[in-house]
Amino acid sequence: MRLPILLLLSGALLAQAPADCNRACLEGFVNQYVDALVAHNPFGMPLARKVKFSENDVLLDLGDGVWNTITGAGTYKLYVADPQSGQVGLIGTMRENSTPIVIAARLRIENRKITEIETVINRAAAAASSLEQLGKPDAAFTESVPAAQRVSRDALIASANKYFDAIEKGSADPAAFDKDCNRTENGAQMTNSPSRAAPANLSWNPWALGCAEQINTKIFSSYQRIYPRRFPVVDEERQLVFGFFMYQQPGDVLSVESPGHGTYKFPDSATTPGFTESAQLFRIKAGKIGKIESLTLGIPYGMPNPFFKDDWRRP
Amino acid sequence: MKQFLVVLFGAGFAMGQGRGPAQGPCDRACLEGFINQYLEAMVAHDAKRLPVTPDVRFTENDIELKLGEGLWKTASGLGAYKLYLADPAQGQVAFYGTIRENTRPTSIVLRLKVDNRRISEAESIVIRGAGTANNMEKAGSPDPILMETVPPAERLPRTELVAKSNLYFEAIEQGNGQVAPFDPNCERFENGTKTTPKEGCSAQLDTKVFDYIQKIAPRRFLVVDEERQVVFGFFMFNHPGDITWVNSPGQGRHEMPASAKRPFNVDVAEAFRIKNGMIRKVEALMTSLPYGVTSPFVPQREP
Repeated sequence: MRLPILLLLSGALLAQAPADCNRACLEGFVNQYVDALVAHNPFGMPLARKVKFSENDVLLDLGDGVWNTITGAGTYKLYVADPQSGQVGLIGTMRENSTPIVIAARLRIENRKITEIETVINRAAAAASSLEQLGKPDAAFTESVPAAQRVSRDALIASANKYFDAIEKGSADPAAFDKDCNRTENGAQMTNSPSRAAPANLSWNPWALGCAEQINTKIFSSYQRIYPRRFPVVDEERQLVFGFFMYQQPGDVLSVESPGHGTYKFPDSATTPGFTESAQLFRIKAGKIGKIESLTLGIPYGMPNPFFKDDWRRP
Repeated sequence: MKQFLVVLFGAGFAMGQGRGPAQGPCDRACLEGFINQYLEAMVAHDAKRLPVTPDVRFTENDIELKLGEGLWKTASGLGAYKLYLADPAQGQVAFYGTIRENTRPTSIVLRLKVDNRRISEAESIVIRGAGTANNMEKAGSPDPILMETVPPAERLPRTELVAKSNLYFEAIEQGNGQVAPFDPNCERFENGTKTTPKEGCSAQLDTKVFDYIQKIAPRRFLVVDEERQVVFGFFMFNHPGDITWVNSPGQGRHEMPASAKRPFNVDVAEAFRIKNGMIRKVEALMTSLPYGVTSPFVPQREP
């Protein structure tokens, strides 16, 4: 008989909770988080009683990891806000013991308190400097899309998901790419970029190709699976999808027949077992993939993501 | 209930049968044989030929995998360097060696636990990048001091061997070589390269250049080769990255390398040869890991 009373009470408490956390509110949490990192003090932030925090797929105590080493904020900050799920993403530069690094973060906010912090950190000096040289994020990631031109949340996720199907198949066919699609990885533009040096011993340059053509060359076929694919942050207003994707590379495929290019021999780095955790942001334009920005980190083969309960081998 | 008992009985019967021809303890030759079988099965990409317990556990670089995954898919040949350490009393055996991964020289540390002549645990560190494997193979063979049989009268009991090895980690954490019993001729090799100066192991620790190694835990002493007076285990070096310099006695300000100014872990497989009660040789193979990674063989943090 006590149960209904408790339920009633909790209902009343819920009703008193602050209104939903909108874009400004969510971005405010990111700014608080960045300030807290620099101050080495997470405990000034509004925290839930239990906060789940991971850095590079390892669960740590809040206050450990980069909380001990960050010495300053950087100049590049790209936010992705999802008021519906109460989650917000960040790709931003920072300073770690004065060295530039890039951090991709996801915060989950419940009742205006942080319940989850998931981070991936890339310490390659070129990544941070490339992003800071851009000055600010590509406008495609920050413009508000007129309501009439938007597709639904589910459609946004479906479009992004097909990108990974395309990579797994070594064929762009499953996905729909905008004709102006470009992909940036760790600050470097990896598509339509003929000035980027081709991989060693290659007579053709995959980086000169567009998003779809590049996938058709099968140079990504060392990634036999991309799973789990988690799409936690959907910014409907800006038509963005941000998530974390595990690129699985068993290392046992040594070469592939690349259509029109003959046999493509994978580099040594692609023929060792490894996982790559990729924090990836998609801009979907009229249902097609318009722009991709990712931050990646190599981790040991088989490393599970602490926010994903199932086996990475399934389904 | 009846069915349950029948199943249990059946399992006991099957186990008894399997154990039949393999009674008696698994001695050094037997344990080394398990290592060889394991490596050969791995190069053949055929884990099924291995005698394993039903609940066998396998890790590679501190990630739990299924036998057949990881290096099992990419190993392409055996290498020339082989160091075995055997602990018949505990049914455990360790191996430092070279192999080929898709033809590239690669190093492996492997620990097997053998229960009733079946492998119940396989723990490995794989060091990719040819430098380490080339160093090991260039050396030709392991340091004889790690392989010589010590006369029984000169041997220390296993608890003392472990205790003395443990002081090595205390000395690192405290930045004080006096904490551990170092032989004046002590030397340490890391990934096939000598990393102690002519002044020796003890004096090197006194410089405090290792102070960025703030905690070495867990320390798992797993294989004690009493006959050779060698202790082997896996030791997790924790580097929070927030000690960026140190005041080195007599030297002044010593800047830590950039690689130490960020959080990271290193899992170190370490073998200690204890001679006359002192640490004479430290042989280490190691790999870097994301900060906070712990071996699946130790209790994990609740998610």
